[in-house]
Amino acid sequence: MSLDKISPRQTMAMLIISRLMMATVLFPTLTELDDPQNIWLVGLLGMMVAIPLVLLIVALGLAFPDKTIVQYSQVLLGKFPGKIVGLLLVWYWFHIAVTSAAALGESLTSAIMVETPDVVLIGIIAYLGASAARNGVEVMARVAENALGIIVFFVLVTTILPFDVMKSSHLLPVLAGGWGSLVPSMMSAVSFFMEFTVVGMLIPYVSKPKQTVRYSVYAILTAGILLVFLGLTAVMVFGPSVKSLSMPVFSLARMISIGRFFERIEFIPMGAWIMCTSIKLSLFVWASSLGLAQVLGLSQGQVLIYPMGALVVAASIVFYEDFLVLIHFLTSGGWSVYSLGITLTTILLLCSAAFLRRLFGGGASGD
Amino acid sequence: MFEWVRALLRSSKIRPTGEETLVSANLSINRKRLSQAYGNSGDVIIRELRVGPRKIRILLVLIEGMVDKALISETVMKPLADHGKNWKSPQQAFKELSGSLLPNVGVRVTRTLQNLLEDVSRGGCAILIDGVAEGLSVVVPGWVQRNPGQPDTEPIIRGPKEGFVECLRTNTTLVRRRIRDPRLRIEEYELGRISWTKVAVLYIEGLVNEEVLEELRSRINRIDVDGIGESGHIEELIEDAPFSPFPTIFRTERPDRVTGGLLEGRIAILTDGTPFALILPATFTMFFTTSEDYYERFWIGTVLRLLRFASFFISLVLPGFYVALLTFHQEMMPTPLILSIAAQREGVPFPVVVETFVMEATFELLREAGTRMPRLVGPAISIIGALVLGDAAIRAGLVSPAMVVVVAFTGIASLSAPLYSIATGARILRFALIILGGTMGLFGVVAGLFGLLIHLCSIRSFGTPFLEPLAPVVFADWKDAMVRLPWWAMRTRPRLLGVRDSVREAPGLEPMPPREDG
Repeated sequence: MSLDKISPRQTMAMLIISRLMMATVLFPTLTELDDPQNIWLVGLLGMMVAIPLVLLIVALGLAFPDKTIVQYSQVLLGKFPGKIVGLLLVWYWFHIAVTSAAALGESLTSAIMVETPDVVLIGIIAYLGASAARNGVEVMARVAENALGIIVFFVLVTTILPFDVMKSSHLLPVLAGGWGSLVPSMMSAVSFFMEFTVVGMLIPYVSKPKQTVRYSVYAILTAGILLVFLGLTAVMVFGPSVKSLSMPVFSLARMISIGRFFERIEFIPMGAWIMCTSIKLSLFVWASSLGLAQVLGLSQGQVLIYPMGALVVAASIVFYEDFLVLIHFLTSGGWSVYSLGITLTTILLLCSAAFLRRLFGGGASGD
Repeated sequence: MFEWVRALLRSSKIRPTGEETLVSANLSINRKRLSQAYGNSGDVIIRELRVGPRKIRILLVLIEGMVDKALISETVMKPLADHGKNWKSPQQAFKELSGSLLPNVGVRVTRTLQNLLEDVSRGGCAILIDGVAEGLSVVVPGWVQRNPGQPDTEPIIRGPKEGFVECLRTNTTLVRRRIRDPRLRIEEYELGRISWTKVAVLYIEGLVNEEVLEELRSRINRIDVDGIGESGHIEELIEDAPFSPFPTIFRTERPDRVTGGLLEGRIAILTDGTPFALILPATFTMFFTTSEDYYERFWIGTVLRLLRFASFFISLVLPGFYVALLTFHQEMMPTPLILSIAAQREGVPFPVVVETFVMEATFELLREAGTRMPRLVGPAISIIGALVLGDAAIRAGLVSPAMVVVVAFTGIASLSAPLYSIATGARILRFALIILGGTMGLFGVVAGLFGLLIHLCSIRSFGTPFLEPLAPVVFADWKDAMVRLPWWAMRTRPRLLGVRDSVREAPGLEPMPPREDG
């Protein structure tokens, strides 16, 4: 294994940024809700559900501190089934990268760069992400750590500055449609947190693996709370009509106007988009390249990174031919079922295998 | 595939090595060989003396201008004249000369002509005696040098007014005078097959990281060139990121900066023939500090540092940002501002990108001309710059006044960088950002900046990540990065890759004056 080491805090930064990315661009969890004023409930409940699931992945990883999830699934489930699970995860991460790239490309072309073909924008972002990943996980982590402050600052600016157009009455009534109406949106929130399966690839590189437990919980809490803030602000500013917005955060930034000079700061969310997406792409392109290499038994994943990046660009055009397809996939429950289906199956399979092994003293569990 | 290129490169040794010529007992042969070595160079003095009643033949070889003449006559000629009459044999003369008579510090006895030649070239005087197959050399260098004065490139208001000079020995003395602990080590190397440039590596034993030092030694030892022009030459041969627009090795003309670096566990490299010292490992934030930050009150040090970071950012981004806004995102500007700019641009015949690019290039041109021209024609440049290019171009409607404001602001921001070498990176990248902004708007600018961030995160300086302590975040080192805390709060050395002795101050140094009311 390579000598690259990242700190738990850097891991946290990468996870937070990945989670914030989709929300700052499209915020599907919010626009999916029937009663958007319940976004804070959804956010909090989503965190509650996500934390144990992510902790399961981390715990599995800690049982094999020098193996990635793709490697130990082959130990736990046996060579062939393990490879299938590995491939499934690789595909899942690849698909996350593709969806993120498409979300960015479509949003940019519909909001700011109307006449630019989105393949150019996606290509540039994917190149940036892939070049960070090509430099190794250490560089990726440092970029994320450095950008985290800027991104959080951007998010806070968009959350706080539209204070003069907020109306707290938009937050009522609470739970008008009963708990059941929250379920689809909550599934969506949890399904986005399932991106954190990628921590299974990162654990062998973390300098103090034990602390990953703590920091992945921090990551969920930080990202979750920021999202709740963003959602609340959007609801307070736009009221129920927030559902019809395709890019709530971007529209929020447009509402900011201070002293008739500091206004129309769309470049703030745009900067956050670009940074978040590049970092997210770097993380997921890296993870899927490394995972693929480990499934196929290649000695290193670095050579796959640029091809994988190119595939992401191509797939983001092919999979989602326009904005509506993407939005529909993300908000109609399709993504939730798909994402939760893959990750829950994987986690359950791996955990039960680990449990059975421990039960029957199968050894080789690495602890 | 490139083996033959490598073989070719390896074979092209410039200075023949290995063969050593022994000193002959016959003075005439020695004399012939020495004068052959130097050819008929006009500055080489080869003088034969006959000393004492036995007429012992003694040969002196030295280079005029390289030795201290007064010292030579005092310490070499006088003993020869005073004691020469007592000498019975050449052997006795040699023994007395090498043993006791020469009052100099650096006396070398050698059997090879090469050693003698080397000493002569370093400002020594070689002494050969007929009948003795050994030579003596006395190194008494003395040449014209300037005094250590206030450095031109790093002027400060409060702090030592001494700067390095071109002579290596003076420079090491300037450092040694500030760090008297014997743990200050000065390792000397001689680089350049033809130039024989002396290079000194300075560090403090016990503070420096041995691995970094070992790495530096091996990098210096692999240097095999004909000559070293300046410390920048060494820098390019040993740095970690050879293609980066930013330097990864710090350079300074100030002995107090070198001292500060050494005390932090860094390594300094002094090069003979240049006043510029190198300090490594270097980090990005180091380039935005001045030594005065540490001497003036910490508030102003902090504020000025933040200002410098901001101005670096402005000098990098402003023109690109302006181009992007005017070309693609007019709606993002406040309405009164965009109206005013649009009115100014009414008659301007070029697109903003071209206008900005040309004006920035003109500014760089003026700056370059201002640096290189003889001082006497200075006023001409300012007339051309201010009147012709500034005023007349606007009146003629070729550029808009807003453009001139942007260029001027960028220029001032760029010039305010405390270290020229970090600003040059921004100078070049600015043009790339103008093009990105002109073709892809703010997206291009942000993507370009993000690419720059990735680059900066990916480079290292002798094992230390270049952006430390910003990425990786090391909160303990933030005390002396973007801000400067008071000295009593800087208890630890920066956590460069494994500084060994990290505590530098006793605890509780914060001044606590007794209260009046007790």
